[in-house]
Amino acid sequence: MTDKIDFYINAIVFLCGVISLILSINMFKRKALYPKIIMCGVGCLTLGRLYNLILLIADSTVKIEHTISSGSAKGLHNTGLLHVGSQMYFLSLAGGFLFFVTANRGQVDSLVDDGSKQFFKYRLLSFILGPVIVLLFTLFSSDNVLFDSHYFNPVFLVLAFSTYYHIKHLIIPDVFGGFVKSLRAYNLTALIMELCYLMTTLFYNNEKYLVPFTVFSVLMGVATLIIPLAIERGYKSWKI
Amino acid sequence: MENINYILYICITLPLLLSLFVINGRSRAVISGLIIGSTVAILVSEINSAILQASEFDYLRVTINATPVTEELIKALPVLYFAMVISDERRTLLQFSFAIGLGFAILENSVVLVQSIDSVTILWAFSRGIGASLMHGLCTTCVGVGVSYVKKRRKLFTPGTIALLLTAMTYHSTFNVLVQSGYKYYGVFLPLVTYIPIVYAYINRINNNKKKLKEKA
Repeated sequence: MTDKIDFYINAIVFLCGVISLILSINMFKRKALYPKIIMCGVGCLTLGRLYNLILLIADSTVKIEHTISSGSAKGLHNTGLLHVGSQMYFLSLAGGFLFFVTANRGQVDSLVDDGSKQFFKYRLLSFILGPVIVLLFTLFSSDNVLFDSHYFNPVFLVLAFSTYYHIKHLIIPDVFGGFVKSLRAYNLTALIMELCYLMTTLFYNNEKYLVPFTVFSVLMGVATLIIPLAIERGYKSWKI
Repeated sequence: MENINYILYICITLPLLLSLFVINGRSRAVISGLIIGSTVAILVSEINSAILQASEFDYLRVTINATPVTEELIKALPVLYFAMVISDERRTLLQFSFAIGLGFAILENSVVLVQSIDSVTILWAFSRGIGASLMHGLCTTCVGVGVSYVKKRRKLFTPGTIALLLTAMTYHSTFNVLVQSGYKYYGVFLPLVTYIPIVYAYINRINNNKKKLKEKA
């Protein structure tokens, strides 16, 4: 994949993230902790995009500076390019998804699931769907260049953990107050966004899959934009 | 001079340490934060040197991929201790964690200054003084203030704290990429763009609270 395409896609997703963040700050300034944590998650993911963008912009200059200082451009990175397999980006993904886990697990989960047998089937179904996604991903992308990264695999464990709560809060019956229903739009959007992250990582750096990579990236950006709107819509009917 | 890092550390922290006996209250927490920050910096410099020697990667790759992780992790430890044991009051945590970041940056800047004494300029001093200091301060504050929120519930604490740390690491690494590249002077803008809105919101909040208290009185 050319640097130019990579740059534009990163720029689009970054822009969507920034708009989403500004919307979130305006909407959730004086509201409960739940939307604020999600806002932090969106912020962390956007920061990761900024990191990628800066890495792409700085790449050529870093190579030049390094050549001057060490007398060799080799050793900068295994591939010779700084941005390919950039590891810190994965930390931002893990951070962003962990914020979503924190919000769902810490703020909502105990209110919708008391740990009784009645909800076991929902827990089981969500648990199967989370790890299955990770397993499928691992099977499909075992030859992916990104698997060289040290931080890569833990990210998808966090993602599986996050999808578990999104799926659970989508399928679990509503409780008194009706906030499960009001949060379904957010959980569905966040789930779509996370799956898009999964797919874009699968298709990354492969010329054959340029179209699906672009489509999923744009979809990811749109989902990021919708998140604060979905929460705001749901938030009107409940408070934690 | 082989012990220059330690000489700088003693020169910076000893006067601060002596001042602790005549300072009380919140100022004491801030000065303690500066001392702890400098101590963390000296500890981290040893760890980073060991990583650089042990790994197959060069200095640039280590500063982008490894040092943000070690620095943020170790800087967060005293903040977490403070929040768990001493006080989880948001304002105190904010001041204490920002002071740790500043203390860290002061020693780091001094070490960098001594190491590259022949090439430093006034512009360099401004960019390091604003960029690196704010970046370290903001990263530690992000963890400190965030912990005051997530400490409320046990279920929030662990994933929330790790997420905050990962955010700080990403921010730190973004700054490191910028200052290591050909656009190193633009490195000042990233912390400034983050710092100015936060300070503006913080001052606004304090003023609003004061107004509310006055109205109540």
